Amino acid sequence: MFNKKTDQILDEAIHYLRHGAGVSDCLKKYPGAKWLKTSLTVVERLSSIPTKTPNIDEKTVWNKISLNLAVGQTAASQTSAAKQQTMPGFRLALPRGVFAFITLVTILGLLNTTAVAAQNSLPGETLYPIKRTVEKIQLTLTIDEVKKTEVRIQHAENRLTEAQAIVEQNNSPANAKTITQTIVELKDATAQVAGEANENKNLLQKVVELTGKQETVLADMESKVQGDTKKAVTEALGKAFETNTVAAQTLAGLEKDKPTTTTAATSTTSPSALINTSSTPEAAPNGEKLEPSQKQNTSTNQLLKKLGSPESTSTELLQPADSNLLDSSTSTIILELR
Amino acid sequence: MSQTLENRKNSRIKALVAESGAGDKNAYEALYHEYFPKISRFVGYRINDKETAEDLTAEIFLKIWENLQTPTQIDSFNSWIFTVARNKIIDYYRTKKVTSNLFELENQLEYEDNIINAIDLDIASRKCLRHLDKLSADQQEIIRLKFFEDLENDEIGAITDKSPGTIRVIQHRAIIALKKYLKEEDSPANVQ
Repeated sequence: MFNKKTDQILDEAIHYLRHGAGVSDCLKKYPGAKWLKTSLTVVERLSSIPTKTPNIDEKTVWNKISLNLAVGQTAASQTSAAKQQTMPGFRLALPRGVFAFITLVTILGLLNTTAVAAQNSLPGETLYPIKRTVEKIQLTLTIDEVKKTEVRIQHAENRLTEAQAIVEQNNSPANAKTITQTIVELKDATAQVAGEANENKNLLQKVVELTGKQETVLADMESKVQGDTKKAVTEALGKAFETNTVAAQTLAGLEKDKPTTTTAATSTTSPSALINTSSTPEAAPNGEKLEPSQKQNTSTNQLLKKLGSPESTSTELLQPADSNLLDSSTSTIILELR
Repeated sequence: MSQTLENRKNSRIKALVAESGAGDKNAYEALYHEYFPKISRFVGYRINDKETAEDLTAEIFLKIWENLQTPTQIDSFNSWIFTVARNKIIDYYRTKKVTSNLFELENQLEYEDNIINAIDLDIASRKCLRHLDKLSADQQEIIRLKFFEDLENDEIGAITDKSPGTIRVIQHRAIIALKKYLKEEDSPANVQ
């Protein structure tokens, strides 16, 4: 008994005290523990602190319990666990994974529908931010740098169409801010693609097309809007004109270099020169003669192959030169340079 | 003598638990009346709203009944029923996004106001309570559960997740500390 630890002796003594024994009885039980008396005094003081009895009615609670037991329901009938058990068939038929899959498919489907619906939205409309998000995703998903620029060109074109549509549909002062915003975005987008299109004839060609269209639309718009919007339109128009000129000149410069490259490759004949002289006047009057130029492009490739120089670089250089002819202003410049 | 009384009570509870497990609702009612005072106090001190406290108490006993119907090995019904009670209260506060720690909860609830009958408090008890505040969180918790809520060590173990040995040691240190504080307070008066 004396080998017991003090904490054990105290605990036992407390136990006896609580079950009706007096302090003196406890002390008799542990004669060697001199410290026990004062400790038990503290215990008695703690035990004598008056405590409240919570206001919970024993009968009310039992009635609740027996009612549930009688109904045959178990535990907390109001808890979610019980609710889940009430439709076991449904749970069994569709396990968790299937549920998750259906939910995912539904969400993706809804997103897709919304994204498609958003494609025709205009700035200021509820779905418009979704359209812009879709554009951003499209850009992120495009890895190839040239294709990325192409996507940006498409986006700049979208801004132009949007600006044109809102000016026509709702050219109110309340909408002025939205229009200005779209025009500024159009200008920025154009500036970005102009910077990226360097050295690539195909892209330069597209930039020339884009800015040419911008010139027409913005010039028309300039007379319809006022104030800050007008200022933005004028600025964008200036930028479009400048970009168009620079892109056309660059294009012409590349065009000029091309015969040399091809000549070097073919050494005897100059097929590109041949094509250019024949195709330029043909396409110059209007920008619609896409088919003949494409045919010529193929024929150029064939010609090059025949000549024993299927160098991809030279064919690549030739390609935009033909599609250039879509734009009359570029062709004019090319002719002038010649 | 008290030992035999306690043993008799324990075997009675064991029998009631076994009968309840066999689906005897009368035996379970007897078991309910046996445990209601402790469980209702445990819940009532922690849940201020009377109706919520009654609902939760009913849910605890329903859960116990449900678990008794499935063949499970119950080592100590005493500690098991308090584990269920503690989890029910924690769950209740978790769904209310308050806290999952009983001690923190008790501080938030002004547990002492709920549990201590301030009107009947004499000077000696007041002193004792003041010193209790100086103890560590663990020590305060054990003292409150043991002496204010009248719980046994196995029940306290179920509530606090502590072994009986740990509880004994914490209890012992708490009593020694209180003894020291009370002695310090009393000694200047004795000198005078």
